[in-house]
Amino acid sequence: MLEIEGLEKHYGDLKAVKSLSLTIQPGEIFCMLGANGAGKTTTLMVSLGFTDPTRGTVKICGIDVTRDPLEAKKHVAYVSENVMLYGNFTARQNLDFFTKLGGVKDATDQDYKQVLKRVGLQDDAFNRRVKGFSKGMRQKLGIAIAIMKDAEVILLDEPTSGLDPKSGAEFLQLLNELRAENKAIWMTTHDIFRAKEIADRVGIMVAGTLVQLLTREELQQQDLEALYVQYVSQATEEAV
Amino acid sequence: MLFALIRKEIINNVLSFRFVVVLVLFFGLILISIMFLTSDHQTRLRTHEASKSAHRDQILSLKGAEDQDEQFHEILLGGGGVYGDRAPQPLGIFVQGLDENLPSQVNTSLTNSRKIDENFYRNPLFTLFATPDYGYIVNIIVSLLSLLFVFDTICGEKERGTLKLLLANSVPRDLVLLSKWIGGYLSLAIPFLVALLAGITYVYITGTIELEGETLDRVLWIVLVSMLYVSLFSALGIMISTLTHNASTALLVSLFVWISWILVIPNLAPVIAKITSPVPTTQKIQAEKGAVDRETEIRLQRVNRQMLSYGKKAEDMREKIEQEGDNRKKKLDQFYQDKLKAQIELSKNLSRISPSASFTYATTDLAHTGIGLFTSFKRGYNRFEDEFGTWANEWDDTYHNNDEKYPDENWLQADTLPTFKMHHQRLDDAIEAALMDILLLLVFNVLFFMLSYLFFLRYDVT
Repeated sequence: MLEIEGLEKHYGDLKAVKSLSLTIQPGEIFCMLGANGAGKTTTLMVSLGFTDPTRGTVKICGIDVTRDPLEAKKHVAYVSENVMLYGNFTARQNLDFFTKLGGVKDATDQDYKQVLKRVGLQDDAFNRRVKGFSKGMRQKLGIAIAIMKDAEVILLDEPTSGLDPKSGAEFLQLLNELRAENKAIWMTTHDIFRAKEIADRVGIMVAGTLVQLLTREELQQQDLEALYVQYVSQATEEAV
Repeated sequence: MLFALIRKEIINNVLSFRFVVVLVLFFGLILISIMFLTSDHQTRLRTHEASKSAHRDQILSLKGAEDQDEQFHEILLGGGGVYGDRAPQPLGIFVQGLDENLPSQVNTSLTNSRKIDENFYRNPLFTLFATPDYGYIVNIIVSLLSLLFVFDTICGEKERGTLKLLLANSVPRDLVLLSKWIGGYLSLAIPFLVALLAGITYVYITGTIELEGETLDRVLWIVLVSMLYVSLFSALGIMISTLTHNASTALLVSLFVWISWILVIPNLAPVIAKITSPVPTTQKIQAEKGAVDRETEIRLQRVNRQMLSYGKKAEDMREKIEQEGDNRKKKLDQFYQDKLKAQIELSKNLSRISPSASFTYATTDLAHTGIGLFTSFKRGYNRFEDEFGTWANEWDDTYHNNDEKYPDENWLQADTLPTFKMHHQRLDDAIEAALMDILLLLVFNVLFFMLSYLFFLRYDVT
């Protein structure tokens, strides 16, 4: 479970995140929408303990990330927008390294092959160097690493960016499976349609503030695209 | 976890292009340099033996001369005088230091002493483009390669995006840093040691120097100091990478630091010492001594004019004046020596700001090709001159006291002639001399690693 309570992050005069409170339950997919600079990634960075919050707390499985980042990180997996791995390593070597780092010591080649298959990577990718991989393939490998860690909380930073439609659809299927495995999933995205399709809840963040929080039922009733464009335009006008 | 991190670093390094470059350069440069200098050492040894033999033959031929006048002229009065030969230092193969620049033969006689500077007769390009020895290669090239090997180890990972993924796991930053240092260092140290081992094996196989006992210990100490030096640049590179956020900035900072620290400071230190702690020229000291001689002469003449030139009082007075003159000249010599020593010490201490200087001092001390060799040579030469002076004066006095008759026809014995000998520096003394610089290298290592740790704890990975 991911709990964010009164989170604020300031960079000098800039308030990147303002009073954000949110809880993501196990078995829930939460999608955070927002324009560039809205504070989505900053929230993720605080959640990963990369930067300290100005105020408030982030807890992963009840562990305060600021107080005990190493313990908290045992329960979280992260996939970035543009997954960059060790290019000179093969997919297997990358998987093996990050899996061991994630605390799983007894994974076998068979496990790695299975997880690669699950994320939609061909068998021949197993022993290929990652520097020859396309962005989509790297993204899939990143997700495979997150799956191998078997963490309770998964943080995804625009994971579908750069994926072709088929891979995008496969990815959504994978998220569904992870939800069924009781994972709490946070996904930041610009992709309104995929968010609407997969999310249990959607938040819209504008200039550091969570301005709208919609449940699955509300999503069915509202035009999410129009709502999103309205908030973003409003924020742009205010900024000008 | 540390093992997994180190393994990752080593595999990542070994599979990189820069590792291939480092490997080729290490093998190429170290091996070629040692092979070339081994051959050069063999040539110098042959030259030394030939020269020693020629000088001995010269004495023997004089001994056999019928005309004792010729013997006296050649030996005592400065026709040729006596020669001494200095053997090349065995570990000059690795660290040449001052070995090649010090004369390989010296000469002394009663009336004329001169050192033979053979550099004057050889191809001037040898001096203009000195052969890079192992010490030079490590000091300049290996240090640069070590720095370039790790300069982007942290910031490069940040730039590529892998650092975020790495630290999203439950990995303490100190372990990441330690693995970077160990992994980077091992990736450098292993090809370096293998190349060096190949070079040492070559020296052993050729039998040019006896690689056993104290000589082998000295080589091992030099290797140890080299490893410390390489490690220092690994730590420095890691520190730079924790201070910067992209590889291009890190590269510029690394080059700036390396140029100013390795090239500028050690070369600037003697210049600063020369300005702040000047030493009078030997010509000036000679002129002052000449003035003392003239003053002594005038005072002696005055005594002679005022008193009778004989009698105990006059003799005592003359002796006192001569003694005073000698003392003043000794003081001038001492003044010069003190000033020179102070300047050398100041240059040394100033240059120690750079680890390059510490590395040079430590390795040349251990190979006995550094300041210790220079001092040893100077002392040996002074002793040679003094012993010859005493020996020659005794025979000269004998000649004069014997109504200018030649002494016994067997007076000239080659074995009794003073010889040029240099003090053999023991390994313990060499280590003691190098200890300060070894400690400095260690301090720099610890300092850079500690600073890297401090910077990396606060490093913004986002």
